[in-house]
Amino acid sequence: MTIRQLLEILTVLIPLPPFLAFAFIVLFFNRWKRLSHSIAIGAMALSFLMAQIVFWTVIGWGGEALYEHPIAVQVPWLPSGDEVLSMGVMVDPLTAITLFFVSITCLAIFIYSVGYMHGDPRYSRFFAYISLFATGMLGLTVADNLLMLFIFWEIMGLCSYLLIGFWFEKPSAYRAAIKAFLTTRIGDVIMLLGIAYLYSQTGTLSFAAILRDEAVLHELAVTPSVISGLSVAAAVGLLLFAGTVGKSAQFPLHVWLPDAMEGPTPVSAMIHAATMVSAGVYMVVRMFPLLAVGMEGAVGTPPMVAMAIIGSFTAFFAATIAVAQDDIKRVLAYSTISQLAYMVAALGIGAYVAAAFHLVTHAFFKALLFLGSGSVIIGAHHEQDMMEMGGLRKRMPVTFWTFLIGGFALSGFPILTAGFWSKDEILAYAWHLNPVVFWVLAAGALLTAFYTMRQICLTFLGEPRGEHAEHAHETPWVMTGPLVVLALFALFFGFVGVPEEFPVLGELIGYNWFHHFVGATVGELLHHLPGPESFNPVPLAISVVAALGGLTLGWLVYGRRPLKAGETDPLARWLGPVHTVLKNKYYIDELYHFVFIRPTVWLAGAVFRWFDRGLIDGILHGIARLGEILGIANRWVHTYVIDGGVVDGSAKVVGATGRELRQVLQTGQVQHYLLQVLMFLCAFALLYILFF
Amino acid sequence: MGGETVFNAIWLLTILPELLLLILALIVLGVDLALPAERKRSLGVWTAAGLVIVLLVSLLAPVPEEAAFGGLVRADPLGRVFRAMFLLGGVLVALMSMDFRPLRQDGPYYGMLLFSLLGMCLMAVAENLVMLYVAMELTSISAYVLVGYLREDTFSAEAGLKYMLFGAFTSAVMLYGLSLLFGLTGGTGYMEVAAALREAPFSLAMVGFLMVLVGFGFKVAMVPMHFWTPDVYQGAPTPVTAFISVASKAAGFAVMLRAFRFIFPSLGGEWVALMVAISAVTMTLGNIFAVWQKNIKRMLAYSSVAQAGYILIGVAAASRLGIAAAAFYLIIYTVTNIAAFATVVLVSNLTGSEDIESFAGLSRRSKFLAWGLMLALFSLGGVPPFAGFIGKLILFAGAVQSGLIALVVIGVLNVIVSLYYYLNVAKVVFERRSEEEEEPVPIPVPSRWVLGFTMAAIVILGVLAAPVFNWVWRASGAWF
Amino acid sequence: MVPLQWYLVLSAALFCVGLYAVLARRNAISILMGIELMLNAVNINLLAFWRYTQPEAAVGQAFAAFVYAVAAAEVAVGLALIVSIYRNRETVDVDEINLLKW
Repeated sequence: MTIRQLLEILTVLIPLPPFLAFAFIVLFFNRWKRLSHSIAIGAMALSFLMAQIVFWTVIGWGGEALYEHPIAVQVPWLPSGDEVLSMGVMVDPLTAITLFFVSITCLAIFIYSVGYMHGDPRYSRFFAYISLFATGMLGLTVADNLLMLFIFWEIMGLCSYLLIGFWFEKPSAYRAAIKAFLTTRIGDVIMLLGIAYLYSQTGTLSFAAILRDEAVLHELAVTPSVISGLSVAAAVGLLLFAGTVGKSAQFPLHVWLPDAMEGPTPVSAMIHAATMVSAGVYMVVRMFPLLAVGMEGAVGTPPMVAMAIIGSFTAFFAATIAVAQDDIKRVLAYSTISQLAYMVAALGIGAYVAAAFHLVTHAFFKALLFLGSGSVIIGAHHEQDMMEMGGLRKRMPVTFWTFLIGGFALSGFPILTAGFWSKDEILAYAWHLNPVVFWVLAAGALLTAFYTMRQICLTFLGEPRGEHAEHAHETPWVMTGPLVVLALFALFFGFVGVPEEFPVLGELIGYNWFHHFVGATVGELLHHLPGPESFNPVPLAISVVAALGGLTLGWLVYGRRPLKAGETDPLARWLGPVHTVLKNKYYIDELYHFVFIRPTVWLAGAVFRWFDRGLIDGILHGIARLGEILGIANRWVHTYVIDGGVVDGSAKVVGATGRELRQVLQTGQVQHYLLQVLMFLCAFALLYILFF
Repeated sequence: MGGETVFNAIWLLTILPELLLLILALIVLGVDLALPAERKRSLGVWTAAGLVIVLLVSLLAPVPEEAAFGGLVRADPLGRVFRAMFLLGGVLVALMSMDFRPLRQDGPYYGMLLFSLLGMCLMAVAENLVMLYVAMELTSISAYVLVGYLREDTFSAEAGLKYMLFGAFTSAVMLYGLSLLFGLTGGTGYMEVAAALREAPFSLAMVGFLMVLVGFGFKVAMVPMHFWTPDVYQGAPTPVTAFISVASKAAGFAVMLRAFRFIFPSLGGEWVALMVAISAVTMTLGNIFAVWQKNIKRMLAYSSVAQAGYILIGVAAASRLGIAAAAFYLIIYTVTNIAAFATVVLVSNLTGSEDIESFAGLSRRSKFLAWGLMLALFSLGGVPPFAGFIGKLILFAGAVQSGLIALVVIGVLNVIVSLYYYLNVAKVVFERRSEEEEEPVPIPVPSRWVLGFTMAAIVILGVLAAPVFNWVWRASGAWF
Repeated sequence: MVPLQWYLVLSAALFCVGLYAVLARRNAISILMGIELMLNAVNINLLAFWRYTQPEAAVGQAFAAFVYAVAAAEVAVGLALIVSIYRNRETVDVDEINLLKW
């Protein structure tokens, strides 16, 4: 057996252990908590090991070699039409790097959950669910076609529903679960349409067959779609991007993510930071050759333009909301939306590698931040309101230092943190390609640094402002251990992607490994993508100023003189009504409720009432009236011709009419049904007579 | 029914399953006489075991491809797929009936079930208007009896009456249409009719088509012939509801697909346009009305109307993929809906109620039941990786292939709406507490088999659809 | 010979009379009778078509015979159901048989 065959088998097996863990826990070991978590963690560790073996081996081969000969296994699965839609796995450079960070973050979160979920009545079930979730993410990563990707994507959606609503005793948790499921579903079904459309045009959904075949891509780019003015590639790209908008919580479908913080914190870390929301971005990164086909110079295709607009807008918009949030997890939720938007915007302007780079670094530091916030929540006895915290630095030193690293990485603190390198690369491309996007993203970066500093100051500095914070304590090692590991990645992972032209460091490292390795995923296309020709210090300076400026500003407002208990947020004093708007997230939830949900509920009810009472009864009335007229005529003849009693007769008619009307208003009668069938039939016939 | 009628013994092979069903029905009725009252429940086992044998025979016995009995029936591969589907449904319903407390366990009940199945099997292979009519009536009349089988139950009697009146009315309309087709073409074999219909005046042919469609529409419960569905589903004994919702609907689709393919190809574009409209309206109305239901059988009734709408997508696609997708979806729908109704049977046995509220705390009373119901609802709602998802995917793919993009969009939107009420049931099952939740739900052996089989099928068909879909796909080849 | 059209008009009229009975009569038995009228209309159609277009083949006659047989079965089951509902509710007025609705 060659090494390649071994790797193929390993790749197929990667998603399997967590799935088995899920099945075993649900079926057999529900009662034994310790056994459940051992199985879950053991299975995840096994997957982790296999993923790392695959990753480190293919690194040795190098990006180009892996692009030329990716690890691929296929089995025929669903014959559809004459073409066989095969299921299979594939590892190219993008898959390899995704496997790397997904397996690390998942394993860290699994271990951390042992501490966080300690004492929960549904402890075993939690581990079952997150195991299934890990299956979904790992399966999605290794999938070699869109259908399989979509199936795993939906499995994650299902897990997300189960996990957000994990504490379903809280009505808010249950509502959040439903909201998340339905909101992302909107994106999903549009995406499914895109998949169906792509399939109808190409007859295949395999990544290799579509994305690596110049002829197929070209064909898609020149064929006009059903929507005028758009090529098939553009139409499919837009439809697929809708899936990302839902899954990665981009405006206008971002509303579910902050509410999803109702779930246990490891879930927030796993689903809503490190993996599931990344899946949305991963999908567009994966499909990038299709999205970008037809691109000429720096002019993006329609899907790319949409991504650039939605991405840059969401990046800034979510950052402004985060500034005014008081719940420690909600701040992070909005920062997630904002950071994902950076990646989307980067793809929109064609900065493919930068987007992938930020995807990886973000997963590390956002998982770190979420787990850190979870540690704070546990340490501070389930307090989540930052206004009630403060002074946790001395009480929870490990959490503080790791959180600080995560926060600095998120802010893009220069040189030292991974976040700086990836964000700087996005900004450098944006400067070169699209100044508007650049300035919006830079402003977003400033806000990001500001609210991160605000969060750190409010949570850890000064004196405790609440009872819970007063008695806070450091959490056990199962929780702090993963924090430390993730903090290392948040610090050092950035050095794999230092631009070669970067002063001093670039020369020192000498090789932008990430760029060469992951960039190889798109093959020739990489060389056609526009990008900065040489190193430009201006965007770098602006990005450094934004990061440091934001942090300093945050320090000046919240750190220099920490808030006392009961004191209002100074920002609220200065911004006044604007702060209220931000705090209420621009009232978008209310708007949606008003514009979509209420009318839908109303409409459904109205249609129901109208159809069942109004329309049918109306027609029945008409018919009854006809019958009534006939009846009157009949009785008229009867009364005058036969009985000759006028008064008596008319009284009878009125009574009969009343009875008839009452009968008409009742439903549940088989004759009404028959009448309706007849009416529909006549309507059909009439339609044909009129139109044919 | 041509001029010379020479009997050929090989024809009997074509209707072998039907003959076996008849024999089985007689055996069951005979055994019924021999059994003492307290052991009559075992009739369900007799029926189910017999049906399994018939199912195996129908799958394995060699069948001549050409038409038999002078063109009355043709057991082509797709007809055999449908026949197997009904028989499978029959096996599951027979087992399920054993555990439905209010039902008298007697010979006539299982006999009627078998006669109805016999009618359905003939529907699947009928290739002649007379045969079609007789088969449909055999199916329907037996089903009327089954629906009204709880004589002392006023709901059941009312449902039976409504079902019978609606069915008799629609079949009379259909029959009038059939008589027009006969008059127009002078023949009753599908091929003769189709050939003559090409020359016939369009408007008359269309009137005949519309009238025939009424009869088919009643069977598959599509708008506007769906009005009986909620009332009858609610009133009928639950196993019978399951039977009507799966086998009877599938039989309706079997004749509809065959008739559209072989009688009305000359009306081509017109009926496709009509079916597209009906499909869209059917799934939309079904889903909207389902949202408001408090009784689970009523909700499942509207849901089954919506499902009929999805299957009509495949009918409207009118391609090989569309037809194969519709047949494949019906297989999935059969196991899925039976799983749902099997849980309703067990829960209503215990609580005496069919309200959705009575499912509160089910997850604490029986994990098995709760998951059975969940799998069924998720599959109906098209959540991957369950069977319903693959089924819908192929249906949509078929429609896309035929260029019905708008219909697919409507279908997809409907799938979202439907999730709302399916998840609502999930909420009650898993989240709502109830006072009796400590009391476990007993699951008798037959139901255990039914649920185990259907749950496994929902998952397996979802993950490994290929063998079954392949089978259906190959079968559909004979029509093209 | 009487032209075919006359038979068809008679049949259509009979069908409509039956239809009216089905839709307008309140008594379940009357509705059943209406359905029988509709089926009879079909039989007139079938026999007329047979006689005028294909007198040499027996298809039309056979069809009509089947319709009779099936109609008889249908009526038997229908009456049984009506009896059972009468035992429960002491009425056969379809207006009052409306417990199942919405």
